[in-house]
Amino acid sequence: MTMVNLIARREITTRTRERSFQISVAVTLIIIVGVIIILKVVNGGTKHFDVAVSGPRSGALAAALTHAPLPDKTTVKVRTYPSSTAAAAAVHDGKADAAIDGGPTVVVKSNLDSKLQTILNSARGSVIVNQRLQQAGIDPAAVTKALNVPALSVHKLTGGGKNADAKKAIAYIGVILLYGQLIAFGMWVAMGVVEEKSSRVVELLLSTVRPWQLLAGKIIGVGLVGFAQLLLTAVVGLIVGRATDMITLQAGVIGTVLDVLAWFVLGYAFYACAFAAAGSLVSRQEELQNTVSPLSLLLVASFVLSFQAISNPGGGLAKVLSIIPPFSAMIMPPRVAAGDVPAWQIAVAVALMLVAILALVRLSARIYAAAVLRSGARVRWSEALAR
Amino acid sequence: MLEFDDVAKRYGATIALHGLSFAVKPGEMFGFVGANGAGKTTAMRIALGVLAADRGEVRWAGSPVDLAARQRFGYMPEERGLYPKMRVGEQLAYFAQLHGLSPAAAVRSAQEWTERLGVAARRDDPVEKLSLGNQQRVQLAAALVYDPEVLILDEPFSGLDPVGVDALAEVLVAKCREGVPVIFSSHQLELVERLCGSVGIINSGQLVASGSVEDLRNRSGRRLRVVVPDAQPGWADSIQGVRPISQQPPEYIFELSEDADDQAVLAAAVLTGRLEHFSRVAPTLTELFREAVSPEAAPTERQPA
Repeated sequence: MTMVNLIARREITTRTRERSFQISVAVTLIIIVGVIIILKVVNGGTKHFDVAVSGPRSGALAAALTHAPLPDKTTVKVRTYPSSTAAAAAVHDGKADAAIDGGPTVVVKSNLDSKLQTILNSARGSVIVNQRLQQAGIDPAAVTKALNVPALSVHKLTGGGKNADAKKAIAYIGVILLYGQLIAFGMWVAMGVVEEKSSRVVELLLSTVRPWQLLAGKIIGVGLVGFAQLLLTAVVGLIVGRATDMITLQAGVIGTVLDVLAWFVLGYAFYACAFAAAGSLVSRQEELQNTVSPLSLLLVASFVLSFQAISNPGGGLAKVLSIIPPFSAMIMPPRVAAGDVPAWQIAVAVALMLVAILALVRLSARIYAAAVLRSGARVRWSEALAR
Repeated sequence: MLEFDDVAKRYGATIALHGLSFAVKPGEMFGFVGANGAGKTTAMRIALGVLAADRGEVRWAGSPVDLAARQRFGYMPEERGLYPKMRVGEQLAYFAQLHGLSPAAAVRSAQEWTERLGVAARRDDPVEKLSLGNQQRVQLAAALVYDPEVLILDEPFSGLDPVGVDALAEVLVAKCREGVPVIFSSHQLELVERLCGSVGIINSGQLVASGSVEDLRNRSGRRLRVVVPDAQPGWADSIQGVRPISQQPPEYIFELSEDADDQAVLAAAVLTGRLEHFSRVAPTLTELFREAVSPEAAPTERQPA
């Protein structure tokens, strides 16, 4: 184990010292923080409206605007002006967003926010309705009471409960991160194997360590770096999300993050072995693309299918693929995040994945040991597996 | 003692080693010479476990070499190999640790060897930034940094400048004095002749001659160098037991069999006219090598696969 430990430690120091790695960590964090802030600006922030009222109905209008039920994250402040000209001037000077005088027009500077339009329409409507009811000798309060029916409350038969939207958003981000992380660190393992082959240092290494030790040390070392980066991204994302009120840190959200991390470990174990075997077949970085492309394709397919799983977590395709390795690595986490998945399905998915990993570890160790010392022409899978 | 016992290896239809046997004693420097593709590298790689032999085994101190024993072997592969982007000092310390040194001892030893081989100033540079000659020194340091019990070096002198050659030779001699058996291969036969107590000449996967340079000379028979400017070609053909090795008029070199009479050659030389030079000569290793690997000297034909 000392050997594996030494080899893994070398991978960690070399990888984390690489400029390209440091830049990719920084870029990922900037993207995560940026996405949260953009989302916050686009649909998150509280909207505040200043309304200028004037004319004979200004008192009633002000009262209606102040007491009207407002949509979420909206506030309205009303100021009364002596004349509609003064009110319009206030709009022109930017002191108010809109001016109304009870008449059929609203004065705005250039355009009217749709939320504010709704608020103003309903306020003016209620003032006029009250007036007409009074003229007809009907008590407006009684009518209001009669019209007051609470909105339907939603009872979901399936679906993630309270934090469903936040969980779904995290599922999206999680799938994107999982994909990026699996493909990047899988490639890193493959490139590391080829680096040792092309520089011929592998001959020196294999005179003192066994092939499986070299393979295990590399996969573990690179994997720990990948896991740490993912963890850092998740923690920073959660902290920024919390600070901007975009995410409420409830059990469901944290659970989704942990789920993504756990599936990274499983998915990485699978793909890293496969990428290492693919890397051991070639002697030059230029040839690597040929042997890793089936694996990249598998990852891209999982990635595309995982979006389908987010939008329709209960669908047959999502159900089946979330259990079959290696698709499960990228399809189970969003399914869990976006909907309810029976525990047995998760258990089966994990068990199958572990079986697949065990089989692949043995297979790739064999291919690696057979191919890693063969330089020159690309080694064929069949040659590496012979004997 | 490091022993190769009947080591054989084939790659598909090509037989790389036919059953190689030789031994190197502690404190002995063994020069491994042979043409390209003769099997030197294959033999060394088998000793290091990088290749598996089809038959036979390599023993160190009486027992077959396993991974634990190889941890104590210093190895310089034919194809140089180091991590190009890793710093010199860290890389050497890493290899030292892989061969069982503690982290502190590894760092100390890496410092010591970079100083000894003249690359101490480049300790914090990545290997790829060094000149090829300096990379070679680092490569050698990587074989020495864990104080190995056996040294196996494939072409350690190729690519070194004369100063580098001297530095390396000095290190190898010092290691030998410590009682380490040293095997190295080289095409620079004068160097092998100067450094090695014994040599092995390998041809087509077989050891065709081995022993001390002195033994090989004695085995090859007496040689005469005769300079006769007036002689006609073939002037010595009729003398019993005399075989011409080199005929470049006016210089002739002959090898004499056990029962041949050198005085008969002298008499014939005098008869040709002017005799400028007549002497016994010792064959150089280069000459011995050429003879040993010449087609008629090969003991057995290469077997078709």
